[in-house]
Amino acid sequence: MKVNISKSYGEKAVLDGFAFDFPEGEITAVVGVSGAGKTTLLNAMASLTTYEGENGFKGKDISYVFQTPRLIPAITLEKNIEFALSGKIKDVHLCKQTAQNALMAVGLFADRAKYPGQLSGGMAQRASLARAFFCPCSAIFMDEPFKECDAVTKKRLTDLFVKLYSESPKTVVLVTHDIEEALTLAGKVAVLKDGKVFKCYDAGPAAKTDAVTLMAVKEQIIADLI
Amino acid sequence: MKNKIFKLKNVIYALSGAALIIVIWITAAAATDSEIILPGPVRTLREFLKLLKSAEFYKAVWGSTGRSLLSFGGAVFFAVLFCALAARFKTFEKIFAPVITFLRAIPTMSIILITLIWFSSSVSPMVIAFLITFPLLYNSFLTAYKNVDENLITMAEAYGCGVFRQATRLYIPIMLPDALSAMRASVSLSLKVTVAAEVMAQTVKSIGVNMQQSMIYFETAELLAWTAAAIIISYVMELIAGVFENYAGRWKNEG
Repeated sequence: MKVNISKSYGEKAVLDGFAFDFPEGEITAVVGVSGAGKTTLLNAMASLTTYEGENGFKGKDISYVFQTPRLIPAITLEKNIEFALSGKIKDVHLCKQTAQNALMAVGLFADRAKYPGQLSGGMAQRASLARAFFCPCSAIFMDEPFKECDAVTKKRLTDLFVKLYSESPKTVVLVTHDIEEALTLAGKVAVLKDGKVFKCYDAGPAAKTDAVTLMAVKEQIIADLI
Repeated sequence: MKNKIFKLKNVIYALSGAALIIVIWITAAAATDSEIILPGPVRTLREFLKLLKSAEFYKAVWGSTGRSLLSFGGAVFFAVLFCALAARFKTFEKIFAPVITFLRAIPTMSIILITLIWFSSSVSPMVIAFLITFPLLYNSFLTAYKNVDENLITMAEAYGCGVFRQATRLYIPIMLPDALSAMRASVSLSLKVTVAAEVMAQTVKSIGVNMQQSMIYFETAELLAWTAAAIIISYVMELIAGVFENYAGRWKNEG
């Protein structure tokens, strides 16, 4: 999916011709420092904000995993998943069944009648992942989804993400400031700097098996961002 | 077990408060030593029980309660309608803001006196109660709407959830506890204003006129009995509203 996006807030250009071809069915990470425009990029690609340029994701169904779970506090967990699915699945029974399947896949079926306020942060973000993966979509956008988590929760969530992805490979665009996370999860890592793609690194299976190569890539990315 | 003890404590506190009021009342009545100025609780209770046996009492209660609920219902309906318009059209909200400010600022007595000129004695109390409660409800509903987390709205838009779905699954469930809280406060206000307006409008079959007649004939115990009736009705209305409020806000109490 090709994008070539520019976005300014007043005089300040946050994205200045960010051009990239996101490979379909693969996980691509976009790394950048805080304030680089990562969230702006995702929002633009999701058509949640205005932008200029070309957007291959425009008009496509997308799912979104945010930094925080963004579950509606006033309805149950099951209703929350159904709410998100209802945008794409019109059949009420199918929507309900899919929501239940989603919760089963992430081990939250027993908690389906609970309200978000009764869930831990990790549980809520698991629900958020389930919502994204089980919603019929062309792509999943993930905006630093594990940023708010402690190390143990983060490990559990990334393992869950990998499991869900292996069961249902989709185009995933993951933005993060965590280079290690990007290299672990993604097949390609694009460096966002000065509103553009500064460089792109291959982090495919071959690279992942070689810890030294991975470390070198990480060092290189850090150098790029400085 | 802890819950039961907590509830029992609350009951004890409430009863203690009520007992304190009665003790103060007895003391003040004894001090004034005049049944015209301040009759005691026993005398008042006797008058209240007498009222309960009269058909006139029930006609008045029915009349006043019906009027206050009608005007309250109208205020809720139009507050929801105008809030929806304000939510949908920012221009409408800005144009309507001075109207609300005007209604809130105008003295209650001005509203009562002006309305009495324009409407009949049976309609005036309802219009007055409506004009007093509508701006309060409108502001509360609009504030509840604006307090909905924008992040949730972004999530809904990202997932392509339609307007109707957003309204029923996102906005209304989140807004409902605050809206019902405002309604609980307004429903008893509606009754109070209705009773006050009935006095000025001389509305037949009303608590207000009966109160006034008690005052005219120096039947202070009867006046207090009518007051007690109004308090009970108000309390019951708030209680019912509170049940809905607690149910709608159960998600706030969980976790």
